[in-house]
Amino acid sequence: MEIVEQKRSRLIIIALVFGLIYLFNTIMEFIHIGLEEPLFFLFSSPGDAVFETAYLDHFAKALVSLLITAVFLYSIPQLKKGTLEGFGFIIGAGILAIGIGFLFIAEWIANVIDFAIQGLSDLAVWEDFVFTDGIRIEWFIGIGSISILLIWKNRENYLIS
Amino acid sequence: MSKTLALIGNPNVGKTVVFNELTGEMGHVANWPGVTVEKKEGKMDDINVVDLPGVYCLSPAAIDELIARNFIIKDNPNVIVDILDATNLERNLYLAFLLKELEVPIVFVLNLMDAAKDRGIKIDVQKLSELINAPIVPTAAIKGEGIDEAREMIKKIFEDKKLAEKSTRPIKYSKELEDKINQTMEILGEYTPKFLTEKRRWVAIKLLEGDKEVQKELTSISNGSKVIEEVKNFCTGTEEFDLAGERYNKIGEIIKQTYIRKKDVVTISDILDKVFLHKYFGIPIFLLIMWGMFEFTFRVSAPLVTLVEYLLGLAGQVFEAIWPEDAWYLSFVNDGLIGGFGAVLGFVPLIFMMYLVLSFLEDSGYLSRAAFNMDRLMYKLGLHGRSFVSMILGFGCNIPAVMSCRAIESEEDRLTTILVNQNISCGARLPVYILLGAFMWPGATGTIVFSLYLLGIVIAILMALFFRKVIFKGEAAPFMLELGDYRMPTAKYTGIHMWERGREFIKKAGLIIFTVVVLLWLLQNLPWGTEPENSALAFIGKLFQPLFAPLNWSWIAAVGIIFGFLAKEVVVAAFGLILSGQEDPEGLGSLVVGALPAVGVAAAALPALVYGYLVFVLLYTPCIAHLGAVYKETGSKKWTLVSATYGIALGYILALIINLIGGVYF
Repeated sequence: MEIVEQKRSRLIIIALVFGLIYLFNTIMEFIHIGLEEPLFFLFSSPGDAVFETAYLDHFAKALVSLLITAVFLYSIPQLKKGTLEGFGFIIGAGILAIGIGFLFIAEWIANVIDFAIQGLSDLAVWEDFVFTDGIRIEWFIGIGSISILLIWKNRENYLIS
Repeated sequence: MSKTLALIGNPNVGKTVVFNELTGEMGHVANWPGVTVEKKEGKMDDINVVDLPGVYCLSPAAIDELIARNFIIKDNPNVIVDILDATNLERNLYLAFLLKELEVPIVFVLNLMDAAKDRGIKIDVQKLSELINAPIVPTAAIKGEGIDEAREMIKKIFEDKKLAEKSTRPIKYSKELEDKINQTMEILGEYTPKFLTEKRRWVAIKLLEGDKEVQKELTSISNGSKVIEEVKNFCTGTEEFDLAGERYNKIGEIIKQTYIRKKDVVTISDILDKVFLHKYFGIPIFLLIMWGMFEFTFRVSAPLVTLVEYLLGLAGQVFEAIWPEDAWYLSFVNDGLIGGFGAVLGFVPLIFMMYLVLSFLEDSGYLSRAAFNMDRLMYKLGLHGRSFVSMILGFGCNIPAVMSCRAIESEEDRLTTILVNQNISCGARLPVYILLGAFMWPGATGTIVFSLYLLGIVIAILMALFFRKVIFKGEAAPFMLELGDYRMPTAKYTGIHMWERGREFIKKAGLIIFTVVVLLWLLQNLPWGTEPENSALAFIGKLFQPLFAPLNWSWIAAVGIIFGFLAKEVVVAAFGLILSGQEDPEGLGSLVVGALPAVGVAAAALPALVYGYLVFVLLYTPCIAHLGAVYKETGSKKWTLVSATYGIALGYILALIINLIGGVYF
């Protein structure tokens, strides 16, 4: 079983677009880490700059994003050859992207509820939360990746024996 | 007279789902093999339903297979229900054939019909039923489809003697083999073990196969050995007759007549396995999913944890308002129950959230893939991949994980797996990580928790390597793991699964932790009216503190560790109770971090000290009940002692190293 020849370029474009978006996100996460931060991120006390910039959080998210980038980009040569593996990789990457997007949406909703329970009435905190910490790029790529699942839904148009 | 029904089948065919649907019980269900290692019982009206471990055949190769075989052979259930996997009928029919040889009333439940349809498989159920002389009910149990029909058929076979008798008719093999079986039955004559008098055909077949267990049973009766000898002589020089080949030939004939599979059907499992089982991407993706699990657990449960803490705080204020300030019962309720027990209770939503994600991953079929990926790595290191299956179970609780090692056939692999499982972080350790991690690393608590879980896996693998290379030398047995299809988990079963695990946590909290908290409260208040630093609890802490002095831990840190031997949740309860009289706007985590180090530790070294403490909590004995389980499963005081001591030593050394790197001593 292989990918229909006429559909390969479309799948390659999709994988490339998502791969590049995740690559951009990876770079952004790495930039957020801050190069001046110490290597042993664990060993700094509360109040240090490391804590302010949440080094570890960005580091973990950068690695996650890098992995999804790699899965998307790895699929491109396989899609070019039309193998089932390439098709599997683009679907798999889509599922991972949706999972991460869902994670951040759930986290954002939970934070809103948590803030509400704590009774935070400071508008500036809310503003900061809603427009900076809360809404992440992963949300949008996660939601966007649902389009990849539509490819799976219509797989009969893409695969041929 | 009581009616008994035995539920049997290959691993991962949905036996426990069928059991739950028939009985209304809530047995542990998971989309991977080896979930049932003990028999479980339930009731369907007046029928006792016994869920047996999944087996491929009835040879007593492993403990779980032995449990199933012994029940079928010795306990004589009135009816057997064999669950068949419609997506893998050929292999499943082998066990069906073995059961038919027993000539016991039998019903076949052809499960996973939905998955079979997705794979383009068509089965002529009517024809199949005729060929194997027994009723067959097609089901998709996870969706509840066909369950009513299965229930009706089971009741019918109990009531309708004609139907029951029809289902006992054996499947006939080739004429040559049937002659052999009949002649062996003649040789057997009266010499059948008492409990097997109604299973003469089965005894004859087993003798032809050279089954050691049946031979052993026969030798226990007079002239039994003579019978065995006669059968051996009669088998024209071959010790074991090729019955397996005969069975497969017959199965092949049946499959040809009843089973059609459309070619080139690609399922989501085929597609996703290209990525999730990829030799390079498989393990990184597993790590990503684990990280996501802890991020989700910590972040999403935050409002629920806040809510529980808020309600507990409110309750404390109410008691303060209505009871006299110096009343002992106010101290007991506010310091002991709300401060100590409540500190653990606050983490219940978090534990449930983690179990929810774990159940989702398990039910989806992903966890068996994780085990497959890890097996690839572990086999290269000379370890048995089955160990990782038990390790994953350890994320919930180490005790059932230790018990699940029964399914491992090799004694060396089994002992190794039992001994390393304690390094896998169970749910009870999570509250300690979160309490300290949320204050120390507020932006990355999920990642810190992930790092501890990962460290546990790495240590478990390294220790397994040590045990296999140094103590239990020998080649690791190849690991066979059946990968079921990916399934969209149902809310019902994921919920049941989460509740089942979470309930254990609550039960433990309700009994053990409550009792320990009462004890701790008493110790903290004795001699009556004394300050906490001069109490009996402080005395115990200070008595053990010198042991932890090289790690720069205070007596409060020592109390947490000492009482944590009883159960890991007690660490949090002890902190909550000891520090309940103190106020800190940043909460209990801040108070504990302040109280952990001995005097003189610089603030900059705190993260290392706290991380070292968490690593010790991760690695030392999970709880006293775990040691009991290790003793029960190994039957050895020596290995139980090894289990208890190496964890402490390893935790101590690692905490020391972390302190050194983190500048605690400078």
